[in-house]
Amino acid sequence: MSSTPSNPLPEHPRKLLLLSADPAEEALLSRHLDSENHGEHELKLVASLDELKSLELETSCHAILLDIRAGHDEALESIKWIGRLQSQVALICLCANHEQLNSFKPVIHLIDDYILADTLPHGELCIRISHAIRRRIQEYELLHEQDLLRSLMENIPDAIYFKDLESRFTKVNRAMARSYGHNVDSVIGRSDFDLFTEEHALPAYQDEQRIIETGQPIISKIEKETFADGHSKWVNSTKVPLRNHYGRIIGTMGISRDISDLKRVQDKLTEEHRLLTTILNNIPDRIFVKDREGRYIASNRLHLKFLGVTDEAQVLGTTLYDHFPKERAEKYFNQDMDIIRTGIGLINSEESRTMPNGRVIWYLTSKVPLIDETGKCVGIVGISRDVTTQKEDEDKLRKTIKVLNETQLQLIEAEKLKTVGRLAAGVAHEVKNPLNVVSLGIDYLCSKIDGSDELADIIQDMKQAVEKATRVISQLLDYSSPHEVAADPRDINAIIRDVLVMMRHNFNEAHIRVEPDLAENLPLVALDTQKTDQVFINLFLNAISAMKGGGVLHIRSYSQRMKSTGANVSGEMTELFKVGETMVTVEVTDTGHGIASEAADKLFDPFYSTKSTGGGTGLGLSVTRSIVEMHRGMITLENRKNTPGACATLYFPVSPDTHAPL
Amino acid sequence: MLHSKKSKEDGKTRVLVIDDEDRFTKMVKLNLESTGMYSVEVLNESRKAVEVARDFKPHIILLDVVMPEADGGDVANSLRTRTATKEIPIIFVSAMISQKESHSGFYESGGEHFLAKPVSTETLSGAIEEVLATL
Repeated sequence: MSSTPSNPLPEHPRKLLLLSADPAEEALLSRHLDSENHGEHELKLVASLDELKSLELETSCHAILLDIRAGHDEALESIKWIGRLQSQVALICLCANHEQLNSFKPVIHLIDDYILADTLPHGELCIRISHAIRRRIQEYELLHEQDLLRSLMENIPDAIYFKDLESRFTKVNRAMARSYGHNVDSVIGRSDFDLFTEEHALPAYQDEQRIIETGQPIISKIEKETFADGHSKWVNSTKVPLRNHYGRIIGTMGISRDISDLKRVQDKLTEEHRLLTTILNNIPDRIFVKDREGRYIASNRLHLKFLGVTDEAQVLGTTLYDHFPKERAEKYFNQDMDIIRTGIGLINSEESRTMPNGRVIWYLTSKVPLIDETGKCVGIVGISRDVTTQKEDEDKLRKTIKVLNETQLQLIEAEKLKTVGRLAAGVAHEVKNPLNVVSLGIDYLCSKIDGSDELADIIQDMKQAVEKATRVISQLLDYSSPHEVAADPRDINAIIRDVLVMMRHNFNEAHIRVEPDLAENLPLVALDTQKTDQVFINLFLNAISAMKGGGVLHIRSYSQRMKSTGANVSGEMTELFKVGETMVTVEVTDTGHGIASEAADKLFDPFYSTKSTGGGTGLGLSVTRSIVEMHRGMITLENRKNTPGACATLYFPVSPDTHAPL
Repeated sequence: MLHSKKSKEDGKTRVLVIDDEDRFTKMVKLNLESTGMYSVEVLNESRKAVEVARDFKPHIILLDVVMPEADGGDVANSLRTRTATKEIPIIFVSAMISQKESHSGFYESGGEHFLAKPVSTETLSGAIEEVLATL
């Protein structure tokens, strides 16, 4: 046994101490020993017990030869003292005869051997001494092992037991007995059936019988022990066959450790793990964990789906490069490494990914360092949320807000115009009366002058100025008058022709050639003739003023069907006209200076005029548009493409019952 | 008929102009009378319309619509409920009507005749003659 302390002395030569009151004995024995085995022994005389006590026995000798012939009491004291040491030093008594030895009966077990000193047989002394020393050492080692075993049995907290072939306890340790609420001895002879419920006792019994039959041990079996009183505990139990000296199985022995606390913790951990897994797999976000090298060490179900795999095993240990194109993988990998290096997480980073079907998916991703119990960063934890719907809703909302803002501006604009209109009505009324006084005054003066050209010219100028003022005032009043139309189905070409006839002098004066290009058999349009007249008068007047040095006015009319809501169809148009609806369109094209870019946005605003002060009221186009809109129509005004000049285009809807000319 | 019955002592048509704007009535009077065809009486206080009409016995009345005392509608009602004046034709003259609505400045709506201000002498006399011709 390695745990047995070996004798510090070398085995040879045998060191012997002779405890004797008679110094002559030393010489006598030495001679005897030498004659049997020369040089094999060293004998030293110790005169008294006190002297012996002063020595370190185990380093001084292998055996003590105690001469008990001199005095009984001294010898008894010496035997007791040496025996108490329980050392490896053998005690051999030198006695006169057996009777003398018998007088030491109470301590005889402490004596390893005796020698009848007076009749020492030749050749026997050395052997007897050697045997005594060997026995002493064996006994010492046995005792030592017993100590270890007892120590183990008594102190170890695990339950240790030995059972016979019928599974009855033959020996149990203190921990086991205590755990059963018994003492060590009271358990002996009982079986599991006496201590546990049958629920536990029967399978335990069956296990043990199997071990006895097969010789196969059961190692680290986790089992639940339910005691007769109802309480239970979890144990980790190992059972092995118990064999005798000859190798025959004579029972079983086992050791079991109470792992109730561990099991509770383990159960709790299992439960928490299950809970965590449930949460991770049912949360609507992707969750993943990576180690310091960027290898996945965990991934929830949604993230597996994102990576295009079904089993977590296909992801664990892989890196970004196994799942993403290189460029993308590199970007994310660098991001991860930055987090690991700096310990600073990434919160709500917005990322997009275009799917094969072209749809853009938006994610909000957060990644934080994964810290172990020592505070060291050992990886990253990521959580990523699909925010596409929110993002799309946001966009929709933004667009709606934009539309609302525009509508609000339009409403404000409309309200402004209403106010202007109301003001205009009042102003017009107040101005017309004095104007009429002036115009009638001029009429009167006109009838009174005779022959003076100069006066006639002045009066003519005054007349024209008043007429001009009257026109402005009338337009203002038109603008502010209630927007009602008296519409009947009309041929728009007829209206255009009437206006052209009415204005032929204006065109001639301005050296403008008129080119009508009016389609035959146009569907009728619900029109208020007077108001529509005004539309064309205004447009033609504008064209005339745009072609200062003369030019060509082209008027084209045609009907068309609203085909689709394609890119070249304006939003306003899709609101006004339905696909399939027929429109009558009139294009008024001039060869004038066109529309200046800074004017483009304001053309239809009331009081906006490009004509020099006094040249126009700025109401013409505004009124024109109002009238067109009253007819549920639309007007656009833009420059001609590739050639100077402007083109006004009018669209009027054809009502279903007015398709054919009357 | 009535018109023909009414005598034109001096061969002139008697016109009563009712308008609160005295400069306007003055100008109308000047212009119409200068044609030599009309004898014009003006009235700037509309509430005296019936009284003046009864005395003057006009062939036709030019009546402003918007006036501070009694407006054109009220005056017309009063005139048409009096035996002495109910047959006299009335032309309403108003600044509230636009030239466009009145077309050439004179038009008929709901059995009534309208003239839009500003109105020229030519339009005035044309309208008077037209109305009287229909009687």
